[in-house]
Amino acid sequence: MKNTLITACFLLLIASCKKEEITQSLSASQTSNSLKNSGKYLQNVKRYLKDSLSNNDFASIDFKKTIATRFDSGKIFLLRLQLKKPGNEFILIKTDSLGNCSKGMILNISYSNLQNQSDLKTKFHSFNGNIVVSSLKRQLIHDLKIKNGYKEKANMNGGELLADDNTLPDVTVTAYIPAQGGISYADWYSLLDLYSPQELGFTNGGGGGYGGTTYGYYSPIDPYDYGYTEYNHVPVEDPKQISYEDPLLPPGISLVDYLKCFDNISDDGATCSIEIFTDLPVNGEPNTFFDWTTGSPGHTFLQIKKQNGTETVQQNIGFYPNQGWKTMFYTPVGPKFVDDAGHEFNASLKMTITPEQLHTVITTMKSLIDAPYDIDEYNCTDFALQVFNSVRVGNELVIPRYIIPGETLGIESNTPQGLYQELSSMKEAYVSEAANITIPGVYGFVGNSNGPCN
Amino acid sequence: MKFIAHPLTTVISFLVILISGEQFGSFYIFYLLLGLPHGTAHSITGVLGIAFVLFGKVISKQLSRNFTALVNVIGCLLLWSSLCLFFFTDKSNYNIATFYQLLPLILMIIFLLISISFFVENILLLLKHSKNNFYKPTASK
Repeated sequence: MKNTLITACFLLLIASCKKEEITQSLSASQTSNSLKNSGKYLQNVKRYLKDSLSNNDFASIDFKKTIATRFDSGKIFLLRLQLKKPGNEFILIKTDSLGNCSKGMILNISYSNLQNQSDLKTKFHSFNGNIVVSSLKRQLIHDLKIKNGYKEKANMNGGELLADDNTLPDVTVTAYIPAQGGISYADWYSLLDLYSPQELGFTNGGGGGYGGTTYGYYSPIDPYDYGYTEYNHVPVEDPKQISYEDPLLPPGISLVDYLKCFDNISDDGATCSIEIFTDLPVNGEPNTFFDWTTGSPGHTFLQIKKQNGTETVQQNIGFYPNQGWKTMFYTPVGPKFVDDAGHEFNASLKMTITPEQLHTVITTMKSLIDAPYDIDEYNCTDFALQVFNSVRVGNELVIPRYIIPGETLGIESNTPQGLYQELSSMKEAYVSEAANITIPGVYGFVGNSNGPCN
Repeated sequence: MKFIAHPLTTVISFLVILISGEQFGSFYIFYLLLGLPHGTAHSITGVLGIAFVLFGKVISKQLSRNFTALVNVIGCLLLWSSLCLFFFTDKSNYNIATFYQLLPLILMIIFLLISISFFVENILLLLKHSKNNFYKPTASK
């Protein structure tokens, strides 16, 4: 009995050791346009604010820095108006499409120190500081102390908007590569923490910092970098839906559904590209075959993009065994495809292709849906190279092959290390494609995927 | 019970834990050997744990039960530490599928049951003979 009890306690201890870290990915693209009848809309807002704010606060509103976040198919807006004051202070009001206002508040966001402000650009969940929420008459509603992106419970006030068990951070930092290229960083805060899901038109309860949810609606803390400077012009943004994926097990995807998204964009005038990425097992060590601490052999994957005007589809796809342990005998096992959005990488080669070539890529990928995964004979690098080379006839990307540790038959394999070495030497040799090769300082992260289309 | 809580059973069940990574998997012995030349923490603690448990088995007839039990307890703690270091210091959760896939999970549970039985048996031995010294008593005249 004693032994049984000890065993049960120990198993309970093991089961409770679930990691708390969560990752996020942006799953909604920003669509910016402006409100219809912005002038009339702003007139109504100004009338409301004049009645509700002190003269001093009203005079300090910068009407050139306004932005509206659209909810409920444009029936509800959260309008943000920046105050001409040092730091980041702004007014947030719920309005309808005509500018009829309700539930306004003043938000003041401050970082704990300058170091923290710079940390935000490199670390997840590193926002430390305060978010002070006041009424329009400057009566304190919440003084939220934020530690590592989450509210500190001890300093909470007025608990109706606050969850007992936060699974989503209230403030987060997401690094992403937008469709236009270049890496952007942004801080976001949860809109559903300030307004209830019902107030924003979510009938199912929404997400945003409430326990047990898997996503939240976020808005940038500083949205004015986009250059909205016209007077009487209210730009509109959609809230960013940030999905929180359980990183413990990368789920398999339906490759066909992912590739279907490219059919939603017309071929006429479309620009397409395919990019092959390599992620070394140990950053900075291109000759190391395994991460000795985890046994990871690294990874190679593809990013395929199609753009036509403002429409863009981007998918990051990697090839994996369906169960990792089955690869132990170096024999073929069942495959699975994974959405590698946000995956780390150490080098990449991008190639612009025509829409016809994109069809070739898609056909090749579809033909490989049932290709068995074999760690030494057909792994993620083989798959990525085969698809990549399907549109490089006569100019195939060939990489050095190596015998991987544990391989006893002397079979040489394509590996992420080999790909890295080849891209690195191409870049150093200034070959014609050198400009298309990206080797970030130590490592970078790929952008988001559109996800499946039905 | 004696078979389950045997040092050799414990060591074998430890070595054949099946690790399932995202792209690669193998028995735990592979990961111990892979990391050993590079001095990884899980390899060193794992090998030390095996050495302690086997040492306990070898000396069990020469030295007192207390000393053997102590060596076994330390060995068992090192085996557990090795697994904890392997899984919980990896922030990428690369091998977390081990806990989600049937066969690796079964082998992990088998090891835990065997090692817990082994640990408890040795703890009970220590408690039972706590007042004895750590050396094998000499025959009285």
